[in-house]
Amino acid sequence: MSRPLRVLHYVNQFFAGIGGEDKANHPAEIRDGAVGPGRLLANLLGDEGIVVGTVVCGDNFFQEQQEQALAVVRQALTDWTPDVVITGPAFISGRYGIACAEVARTAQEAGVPSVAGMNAENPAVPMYSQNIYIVGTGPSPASMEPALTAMARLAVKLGRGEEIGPAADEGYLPRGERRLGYRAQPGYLRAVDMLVRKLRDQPFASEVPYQPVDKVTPAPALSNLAGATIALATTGGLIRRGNPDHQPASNTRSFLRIDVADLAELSPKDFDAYHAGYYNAIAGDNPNYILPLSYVRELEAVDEIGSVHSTVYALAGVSTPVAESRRMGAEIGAELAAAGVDGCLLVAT
Amino acid sequence: MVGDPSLGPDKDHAYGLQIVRGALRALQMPVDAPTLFDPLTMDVRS
Repeated sequence: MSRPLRVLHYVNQFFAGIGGEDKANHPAEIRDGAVGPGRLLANLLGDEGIVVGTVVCGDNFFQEQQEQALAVVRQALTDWTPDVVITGPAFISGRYGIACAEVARTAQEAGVPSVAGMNAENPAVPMYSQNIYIVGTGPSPASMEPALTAMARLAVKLGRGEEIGPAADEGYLPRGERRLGYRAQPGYLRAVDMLVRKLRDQPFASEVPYQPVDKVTPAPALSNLAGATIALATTGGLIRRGNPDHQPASNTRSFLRIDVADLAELSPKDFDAYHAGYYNAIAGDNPNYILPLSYVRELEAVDEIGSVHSTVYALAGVSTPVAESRRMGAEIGAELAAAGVDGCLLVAT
Repeated sequence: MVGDPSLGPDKDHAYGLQIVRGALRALQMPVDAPTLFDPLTMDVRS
């Protein structure tokens, strides 16, 4: 049997057990052996591999000090001489997903094969899937074991230099790569078979998947800002203090309507921030950072804008499936149009 | 995030106002494709 592969793993501060958003500035560091989900990964690798080391880094640190974080990754590659690098899985987490993808890309550039794991809707997927191997996972850590199982299987093949098959067979997300090959049946038979299955309402998989691109027709430009009614919306997780509406901090399926007709600004006595994707304390102390009511009131007072719409819309924009986001966006848009609003400022985080 | 608390109260307020004014300026500009408005420089890229 071949010798066990030397595996280097990458996890963020949360999965390393250091802490949540309050520890997201944790600097990149190298630790011996497996950390957090790396222990399960080590079990799944069995005799095929050993997790020799782990790079741990806070999500904010990675985004804000990327060169410094990647320098630590390069140092780990030098120190541990891994046969393969495994990053994540990051599931639906955007910052963690980008960090996992960047670490995988860095390893690949250094000549070390790599596998990242994340959900297909992670923002890092369209940015990196053509350049690195990304194993598709569920949206949350509930799918940790199947995710790591698939990642370990692919990592072993990559680490041993074995030929990698198509995405559907190997479990990675499509890379937009086409290879010549042979099929058991000619195309016309496969096409007829698909047609028959479709006519019988049976499941079938097209060999040429169609992914429509969202096209949004831009609204016409505002011609008279001084006479316009401007609305505010935020995906920054604005809630009423104490969260009496029970808004979730992630995977939001409903939005909040808040009447601000009598408010000059958002006071921290009455409002707070509740969002799983960033450090909430600053916005909690001054909610106007995520919904700039104080600023638009200032501009309303000097007639730069006509008026501020009496209702603002708020939700935590993290981990919500695209279809749900689209539905809520359409509902908010319809309400704004019905209310005669001329323009809307949407604050993201 | 509309503002930057690390700038201190006065500059933070000016910066936040600049972001909001930049967004309002974007609402007044005809676009026919994805367009990026930089609130700091007021640059527009499509």
